[in-house]
Amino acid sequence: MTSTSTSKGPRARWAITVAMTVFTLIVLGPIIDIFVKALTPNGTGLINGATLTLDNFTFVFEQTNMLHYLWNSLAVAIATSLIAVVIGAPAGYVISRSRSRLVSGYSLLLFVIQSLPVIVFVVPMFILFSSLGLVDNLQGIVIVYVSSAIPIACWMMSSYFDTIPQSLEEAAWVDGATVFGGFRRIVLRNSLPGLMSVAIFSFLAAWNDYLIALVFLRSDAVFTLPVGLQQFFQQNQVSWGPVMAAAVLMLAPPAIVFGVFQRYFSIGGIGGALAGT
Amino acid sequence: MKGGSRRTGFTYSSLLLPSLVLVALINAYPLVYAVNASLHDGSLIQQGDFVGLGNFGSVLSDPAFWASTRFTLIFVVASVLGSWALGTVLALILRIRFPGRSLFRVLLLLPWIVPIVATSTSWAFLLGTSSGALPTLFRNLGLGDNVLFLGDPVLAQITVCVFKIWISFPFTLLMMGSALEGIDQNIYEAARVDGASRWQQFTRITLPMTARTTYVTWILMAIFTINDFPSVWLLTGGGPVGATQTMVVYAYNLVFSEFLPGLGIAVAILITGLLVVVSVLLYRMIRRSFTIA
Amino acid sequence: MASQISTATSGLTRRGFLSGTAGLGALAFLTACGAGEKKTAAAGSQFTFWDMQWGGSDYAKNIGNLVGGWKASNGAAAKYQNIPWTNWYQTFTSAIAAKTAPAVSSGAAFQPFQFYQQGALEASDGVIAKLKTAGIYDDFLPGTIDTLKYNGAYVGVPYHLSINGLFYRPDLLDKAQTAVPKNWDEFRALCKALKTIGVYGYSIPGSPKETGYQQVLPWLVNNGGGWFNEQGEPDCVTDRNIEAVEFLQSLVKDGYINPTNVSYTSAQSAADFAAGHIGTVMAGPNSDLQSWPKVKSAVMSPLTGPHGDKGALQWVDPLMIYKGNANLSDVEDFVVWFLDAIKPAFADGTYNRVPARKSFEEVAAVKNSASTQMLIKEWVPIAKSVATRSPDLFPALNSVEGAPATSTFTAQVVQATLSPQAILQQLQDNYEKLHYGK
Repeated sequence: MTSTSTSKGPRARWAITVAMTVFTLIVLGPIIDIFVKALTPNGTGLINGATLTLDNFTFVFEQTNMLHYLWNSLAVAIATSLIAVVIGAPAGYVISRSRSRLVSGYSLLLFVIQSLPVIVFVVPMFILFSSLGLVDNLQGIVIVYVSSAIPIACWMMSSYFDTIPQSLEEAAWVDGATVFGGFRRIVLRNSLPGLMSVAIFSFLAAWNDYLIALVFLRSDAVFTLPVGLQQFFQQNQVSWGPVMAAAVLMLAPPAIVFGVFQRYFSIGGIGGALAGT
Repeated sequence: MKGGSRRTGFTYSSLLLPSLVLVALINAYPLVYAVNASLHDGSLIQQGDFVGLGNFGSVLSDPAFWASTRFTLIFVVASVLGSWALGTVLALILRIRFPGRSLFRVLLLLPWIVPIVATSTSWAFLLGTSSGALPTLFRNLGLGDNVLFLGDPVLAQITVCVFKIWISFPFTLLMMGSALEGIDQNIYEAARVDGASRWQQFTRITLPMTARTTYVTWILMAIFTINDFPSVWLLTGGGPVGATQTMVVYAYNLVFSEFLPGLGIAVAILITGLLVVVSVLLYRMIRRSFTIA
Repeated sequence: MASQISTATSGLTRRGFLSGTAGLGALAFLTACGAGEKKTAAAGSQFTFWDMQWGGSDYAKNIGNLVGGWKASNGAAAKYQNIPWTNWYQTFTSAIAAKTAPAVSSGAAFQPFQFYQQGALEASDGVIAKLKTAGIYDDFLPGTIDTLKYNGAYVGVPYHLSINGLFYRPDLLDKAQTAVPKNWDEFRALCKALKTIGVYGYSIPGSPKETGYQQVLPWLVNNGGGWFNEQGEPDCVTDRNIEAVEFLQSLVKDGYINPTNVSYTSAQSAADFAAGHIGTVMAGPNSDLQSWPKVKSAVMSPLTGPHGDKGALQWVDPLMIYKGNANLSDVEDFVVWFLDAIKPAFADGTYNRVPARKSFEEVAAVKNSASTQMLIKEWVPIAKSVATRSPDLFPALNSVEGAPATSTFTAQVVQATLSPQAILQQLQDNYEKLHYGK
């Protein structure tokens, strides 16, 4: 990973570290607040000698179904990201390579659909899915999440594929490979960062969704974390401790996912692809 | 030789098919339902009477609609430019190899990743209660006894924009970060040799070479912001007295608080129209930068 | 470049991809065929009961167990499902639209009026008849059953009552050396005294996401005012209303109500009360056990208004039956049984409602809770509905509760910048625009 000029002395570098530390502490203030509230009794925060405790977390693990909700959210988010990649990558490839008007039109249609505010389509979607038996279960919301992620997935992948010169596949075609073979062997193999970007993006979108889950999921057994968290809010209106502990629980997996996979998102990811080098 | 053969066409179609089927099936019925509802004056349970474009007329003559449009535009411009500027600055700083850099790269992603239900609650307490951290700070600094960050109409608008920038800058940081990586360092070397200043390097090299990503970031941010319901709703609910009511919140209230889905969906359709216009403009800018670069 | 083409076999070929898609499509299609006609429950089968959240964290479990224990002689059984209050309207309307509504549900006070008017509910006249035969009919508090009449039919049956009373903190009053107020002037004196010890007197949550009007309207009703006239038409700009709004605004201007309240949720108000930042708060039954369990509080007697009136706000929360049940008789039997069987539920001290039946008041938790006793003995008898001067309730009230106009009204009272006449006139104009189909 390259970086800019090396003409900075060590003192200048440490100065930057200090400045960034201050800046980050301020910027992350509300998040630090969440952690502090999660670690103090009743979520009161650091007042009057309140001591740090893990009681809120024990409460969440033992007295609520949060772990179950966590599992549901994980299953849904992983399924969404996998399916979005599987469907979006080939479609993105076509959008990238094809010069036909129809395909450009399709790309534009995807864009328009992406622009529609979800909120007022929730009810007709519910009616549709209800007649298909896809409400109040996880399969149903996975389908909704995937279809919301597809436009962005296609667009991201097509932009990424744009940076892979078509000459590579053409060489393969000359050698007798099929178009699909060329796609699979040449383009896909070199697209891991792009695929990871789409996967991470879809994962996050599914993980954090609240509105769809709220309308589609009724039974406690299938609740995802955002809905479970909201339930918790309602029942524990004044005691923020357990609620914040649940919030910490909810931010852990995506933070881990990002921490581990973030280099894919930045190395030649969507942005690099679009820089058009 | 670009996809001209019939065999290629067939392959392309089959690769495209799953996404097409999924998108068409899921979106067709809701779209038809929504358009139909916007032409009637019923409730979510009964269809009501056909009113043609009457709903659109009512909405367009409602001062609350125009107020929401005004604030939505402010909200979008502030959030897009604000988050982009902050993200770019941070991306530039994070290119320098300073101690702890990798840690900061992950930490600075948190505002985007942490579930908005939690962050908005935290913000509401930190800013919206008189014993919260920020009003207390202002009180101690002598800047006001009881600053109403969420209660004063103008301050609430500013707070909502700042909140949106706060949850969005990690995204622009990532986008611009990768774009910066794609710039060949030798160009900077050559410029330095030619005597170009830092500022000139920034404006003549960095900005143009990341222009395409910049415009894409702007488009994506604009889409996310115009349609963003949770950010505003969870923080202020559109208050105080409608000061921070964006078009999406206005539509939501029409459908679910006033039980007038015909009007609400009419607003949603207008939002989409606005979005398409904004995006087409930005898309044109991309094409132009594409030909230049 | 050609040499770099991997010749390793991988499972995915174009054929494989296509057949995978076809498989998915077929599966979806089969699911669609197999699932999904509206299940019209035949007599003697299972039906669903949707209940809202009326208590603490154990509420859903306890009531669920209770309901699970019911079985009719013909084998009918009820399935219990607890519905969160968040976005309840979306939940119910989408279910009705998709023809997957439950057989019976509890809900908001005016919900049955709106749903009945739109043709989604079955009248509850059958239940009322069965209540009479079972001898329970007379046990209901006077007036509660009849408030649920609309256009000659009963749209629901009373489940329990929602009533807000003025809670206060005796410790703070002692510290400020002030007595429990009996009328508005004394209330203002209380606020003044509280201010000397740095405590606010009252709180009005003004967030648009809240039903903050519940902290404002009672004062209008207390003064003999209200939003609607005897015919159920909006009539907001009255002298009594203006007087009440002016009173509240004066509290804000004198610094007895925290101006930050304009963006408050009721949770924040409760938190402030628990933390000792406010001296009084208007809240519902068992708030002392649920919202501030570690703090001592009490309910004061209703205040007398400047013209000698007393008044409070209450809601009768109903059970309602939905259309589309072939086994209406079973559902009615269930409702009659349930209205009796929930008596022990009131023993759960976190039930945030008051019983609608006289005989339930002897339940220990109800009898031993001083605050609940106060509410039952002194606040319920003088309570009126949101329709106030009109004896009949009507569907538009459902819109009134959640309307932005209403939350705007509340926020404007707290902001105290516009005159009472202006605020009430704006409210009047907005209410006139609501659907009033009678």
